[in-house]
Amino acid sequence: MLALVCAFSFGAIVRVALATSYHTTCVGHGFVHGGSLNDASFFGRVDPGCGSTLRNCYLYTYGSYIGGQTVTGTSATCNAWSRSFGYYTECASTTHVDSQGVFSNHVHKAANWCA
Amino acid sequence: MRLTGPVKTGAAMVATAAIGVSAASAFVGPPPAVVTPRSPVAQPGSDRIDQTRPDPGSGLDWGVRSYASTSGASCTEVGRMSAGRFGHIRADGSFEPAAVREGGTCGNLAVEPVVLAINHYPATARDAPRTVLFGRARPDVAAIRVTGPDGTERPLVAGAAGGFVLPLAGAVAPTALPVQVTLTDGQSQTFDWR
Repeated sequence: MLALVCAFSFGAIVRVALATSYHTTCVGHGFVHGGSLNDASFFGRVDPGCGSTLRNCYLYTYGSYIGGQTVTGTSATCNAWSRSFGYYTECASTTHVDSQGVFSNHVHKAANWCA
Repeated sequence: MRLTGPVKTGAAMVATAAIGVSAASAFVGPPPAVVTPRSPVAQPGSDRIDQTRPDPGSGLDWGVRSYASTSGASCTEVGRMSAGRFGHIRADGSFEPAAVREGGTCGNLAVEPVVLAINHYPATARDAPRTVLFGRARPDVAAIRVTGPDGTERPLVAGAAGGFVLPLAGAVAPTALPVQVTLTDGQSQTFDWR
């Protein structure tokens, strides 16, 4: 019985964790993993659209700012790649994203959040 | 075929975990797999190092790599150059080559004349902060001018595939770097990062 409870909890936790990593508020945005969950390759990403002309995607690891990107115009995707800024622990990382006029700055965690 | 005890238990746990996923989904909405980001993945063989510029300090040169994505977007990616190779600097200061994958900033040059981005590199134990403006222009762009925080106007010359890069010392706010783009027909457009 305990094993079943743990299995249920595991499934629910994984599902909720994934929901925090990437979603859509008019445009897709959030934390995107690269080749795997643990290769230190991850992205803060904000798609264009919904009238936005300015988008920001910043990366943090263990709460410390490691770098970020700003894009302007109507068609570019903000795409801050962690490897551009060094080599950081993926599961302890977050992205802080905003899209002017669409959604304000908020945080998305790695799907396998461990910090 | 009869299932053994451990197999039955394992199957029950997998099934229960799936029920857990399903139950949690009732509270958190559809799974993220439903939301697919626009692909910035490179088309094989479409990349080229378009331009390099010296670092404002004594670091490795900066380079801009242009490529086409599998979704048809025009992409631009900034990095460091070492012995003709494109890559990035690790925390220990070593250079790590980076094959083209999905690290670029991608846009649609059919709807606007340039893809424009700024990367922000905070200070580290080894390096001073950098602000790097980069992008990709379509062929009918005649001139790109950036006005720096000191008021100096800097013309940028795009490479063969339209890539351009301007590395600056310090942490510079995007609003201090307005970009004026002039087309061959004389029209101009200013991107003021607002």
